[in-house]
Amino acid sequence: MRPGPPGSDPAPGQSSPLHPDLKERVDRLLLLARGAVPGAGHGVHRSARLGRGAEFAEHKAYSPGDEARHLDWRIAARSDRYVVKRFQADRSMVGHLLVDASPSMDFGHPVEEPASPLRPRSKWEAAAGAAAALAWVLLRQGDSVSAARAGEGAGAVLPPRRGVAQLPAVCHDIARGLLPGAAGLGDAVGELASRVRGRALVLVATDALDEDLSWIDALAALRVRGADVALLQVVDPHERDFPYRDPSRFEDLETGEVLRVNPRELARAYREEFRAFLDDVRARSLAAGLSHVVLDTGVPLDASIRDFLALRQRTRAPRNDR
Amino acid sequence: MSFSVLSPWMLLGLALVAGPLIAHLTGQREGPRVRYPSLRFLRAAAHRVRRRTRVENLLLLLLRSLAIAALALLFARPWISWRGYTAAGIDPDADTVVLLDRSMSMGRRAGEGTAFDAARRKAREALGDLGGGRAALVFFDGAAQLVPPGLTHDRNPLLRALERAEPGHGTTDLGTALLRARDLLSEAGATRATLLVLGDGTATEPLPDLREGWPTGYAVRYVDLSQGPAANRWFDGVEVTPGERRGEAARVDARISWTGEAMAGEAPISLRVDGLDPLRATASLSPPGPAARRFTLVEVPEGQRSARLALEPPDGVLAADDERCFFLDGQASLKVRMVSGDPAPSPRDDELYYVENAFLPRSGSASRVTPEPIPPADLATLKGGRGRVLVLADLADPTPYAAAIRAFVRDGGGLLVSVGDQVRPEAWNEALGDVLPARLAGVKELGERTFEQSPLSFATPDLDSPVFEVFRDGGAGVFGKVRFGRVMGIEPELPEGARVGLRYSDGRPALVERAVGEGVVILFTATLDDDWTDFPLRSVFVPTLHQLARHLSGDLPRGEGASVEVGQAAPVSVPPGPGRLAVVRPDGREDPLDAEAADARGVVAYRDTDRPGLYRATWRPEGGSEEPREISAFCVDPPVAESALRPLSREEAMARVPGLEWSGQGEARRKAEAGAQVVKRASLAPWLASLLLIALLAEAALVARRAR
Repeated sequence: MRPGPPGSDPAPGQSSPLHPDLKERVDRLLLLARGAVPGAGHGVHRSARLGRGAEFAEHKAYSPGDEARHLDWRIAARSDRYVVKRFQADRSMVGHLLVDASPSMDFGHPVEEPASPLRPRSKWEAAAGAAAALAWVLLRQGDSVSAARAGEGAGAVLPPRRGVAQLPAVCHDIARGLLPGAAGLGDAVGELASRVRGRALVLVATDALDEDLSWIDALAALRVRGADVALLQVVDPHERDFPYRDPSRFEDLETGEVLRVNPRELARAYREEFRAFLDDVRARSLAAGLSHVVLDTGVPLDASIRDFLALRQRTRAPRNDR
Repeated sequence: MSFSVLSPWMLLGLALVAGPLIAHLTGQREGPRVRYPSLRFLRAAAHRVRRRTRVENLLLLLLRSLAIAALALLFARPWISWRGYTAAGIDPDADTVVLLDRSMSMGRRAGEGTAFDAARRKAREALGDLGGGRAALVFFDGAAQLVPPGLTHDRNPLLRALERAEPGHGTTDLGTALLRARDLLSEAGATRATLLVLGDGTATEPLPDLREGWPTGYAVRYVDLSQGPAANRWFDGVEVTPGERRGEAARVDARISWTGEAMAGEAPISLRVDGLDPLRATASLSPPGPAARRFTLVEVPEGQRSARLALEPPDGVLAADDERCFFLDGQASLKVRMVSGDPAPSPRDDELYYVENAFLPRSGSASRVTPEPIPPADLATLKGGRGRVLVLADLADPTPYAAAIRAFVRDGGGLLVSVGDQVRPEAWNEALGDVLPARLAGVKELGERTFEQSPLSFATPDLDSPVFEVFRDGGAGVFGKVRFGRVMGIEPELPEGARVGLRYSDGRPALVERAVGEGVVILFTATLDDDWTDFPLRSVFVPTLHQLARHLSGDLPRGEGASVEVGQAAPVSVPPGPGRLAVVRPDGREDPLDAEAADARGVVAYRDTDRPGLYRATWRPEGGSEEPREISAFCVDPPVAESALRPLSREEAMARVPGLEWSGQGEARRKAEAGAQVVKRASLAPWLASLLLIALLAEAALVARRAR
């Protein structure tokens, strides 16, 4: 097992969102941009430009000034023509992580003890854990990572930096926890949009319970600007399946409002409503060109992250998509 | 209609109905607090299901309240009571005995079915009407039959017996039935009871005076289920006499009675004799009394023939009395071979003189017996078989012919052995000891050896036996006048299967009979001439010899084919020797009879004569042929008194049966409506239990539907 980078341990009084087990399990994964990345510096992402890289792009007739080491000697021997091989340049990119810290994220179904460290206890743990793990993946592959909790001001945003040394800062930033009375996600996305330059990878982890879903449109604008945007919608099984039986008082985590409900009477209608909500968010996201993934808190985090990365791999844009 | 409960304090349980009501009115219970991400979807869902939930909640409230109320009422054991009418106004809470007439007259038509069908329906209705009282069911005709288990709260065995019951063919004895019911109720300690009689208003037996000792609490309701005036035709009797003119073999006089104006007029009747073509005639039925119709037969086939008179077509009232069974005695020609052991030049002195003359047919005689004296040498070529008869009179020594005689008997022949001065007992015992009904012991002399002064005579014969039944109408006394000067003694121990048919006045056996193989041997321990006795000179000699000859030929037992009335015991003679006796009934059923149960006369009584018609007794000797042979037959006649449909006098019945109320079929209802209303009660428990079950099932289904 590779030891974690210095500084990834949680600060005193705080628990790190990236558990060592999770970190180990995502250690060798790659998070690739779905399109070419125009950034500078070397990385794992395809560049919009040709240049240094490992991946062959095309042949070009030799012209003076071309590096002789790029001559294709086999073709020269066969056809007596001089051509040079050109390669796709590899580039790094900036990953912007935005985690919803509203009180509604503080919900999770009961987990049997002893619980697996990879099993999130709440939607917040799932979102934070996924963000930290993806930060680690990005940093490991040479990308820059910026992190922010939705609802914080612009000053609280962790600026993007490259290198594994950035991970403790990311973890520390996220580990600060939920923000009671946080504003809607719309403001946070607006603030994020002002920080994104060129094509970048934007990851938003939220339960999307805001009644106003216009922030999805804001993310769509980022997509238009060339950013690769992924929405991780965090859902708890109890929230989705509504397994409650006895009459109860349901208290809204965000507003504190209480509603007396006999679950037997409306369970079926609730499930239909919630399914419609999930379908709505997914449809809007896809319409906006976002990658939409449901992050189920009932599933171990490493499996969710693998699924997310695999999905992105499958939906990655073709090589000549520039 | 009124409502009452047996456990009123249980009605307090109705207060529990308030539980679900309060819960419904006060809203949902608090329940635990659940911190939830967003109430948005809960509100939307609640809004969607609000109307349906409200209806369901109301329905649940109703069902739960209903279930609690039904349970409380169930424990309170509620009854409803109303003024109603029971069958003939019986008291549903008192003990009730239903007396159902199953006599023959109940088989007559009454509306859709027979009177018996109507009575059965009425009985079922009455049993269904009963409340808390016990009930019993008695079928009666000439006798009263209580349906098990007697007086009971359980109606089911009574209803089952009702379904199985069929009308019988017996007489009607209402008095016996009422007394049986009274005794039943008294033994069961009933103080208040109703005796519901379901009959057709007729009776054959007089109703006794029941006023004395009749419990005051016992009410008798008679429901007369007859419809319309009584009308019927029936055979009242039949008489068979020998033909008196040349060309007449027999005369059959049928007597036909009738009742009811509708039955007057011409009545076509038919006579069917076994072996002859049917004869038809018409009897004219006109007031004031029965009509007679004579059939003249020019021939009657040999043997006893069953015959049947029938109304054609039947009158459609009582099928059983539209026919009459009887017998015609067409005697067979019988050749009796005879061997004299004491021949004499003068016929008068021959041993067979009296026997031959007894059998010789005279002019005008109906006898068909022909005597045939044969020399002893012919015994060697004698052929046996049923219907052949041999008389050995005073034969000294049968040894030379013993084998032929033995074979003759075993093959079914009948042998009559008489003794005399020539007989050598030791030779007979030696040669035919295995065939003789008794071993001969030597001549016993009495008085002065002459029969004139001898005190010994025959004892009175058993007139029920087939041989001597012809003397029922006279002549039996003559047997006591016959004198014997000598008789042959026999060894006291009789062989197995032997029995004494006639004794002397001192108790010695005179006629001893034994079955051997298929045949019969009869030993007469005196002479058949006038050497030892004046028997041949007496008037009973000829008929006795004829009867003996027919008996030996196997033809005689049919003579007992008398007729008995339904329900009476019919005598069946058991042939000598071991074998299987059975009676084949008119319905084809074969009833085995215990031959061992025969009385001293060898007669068994067959008592299951519950159906009119021809009954045949069959006998299969042990070790004999496989097929049983018919040994006798008898007719069972329907009770004539029952056919007359003699109405039971209401006034007389009311005078003799205390508290008797009489009503006709429709009258019962009218009478009840006119004031004989009774309070009917019915338990609500089954209904409440059903309601409770339905409410619980519906509630469970509703809750399950919500939980999905």
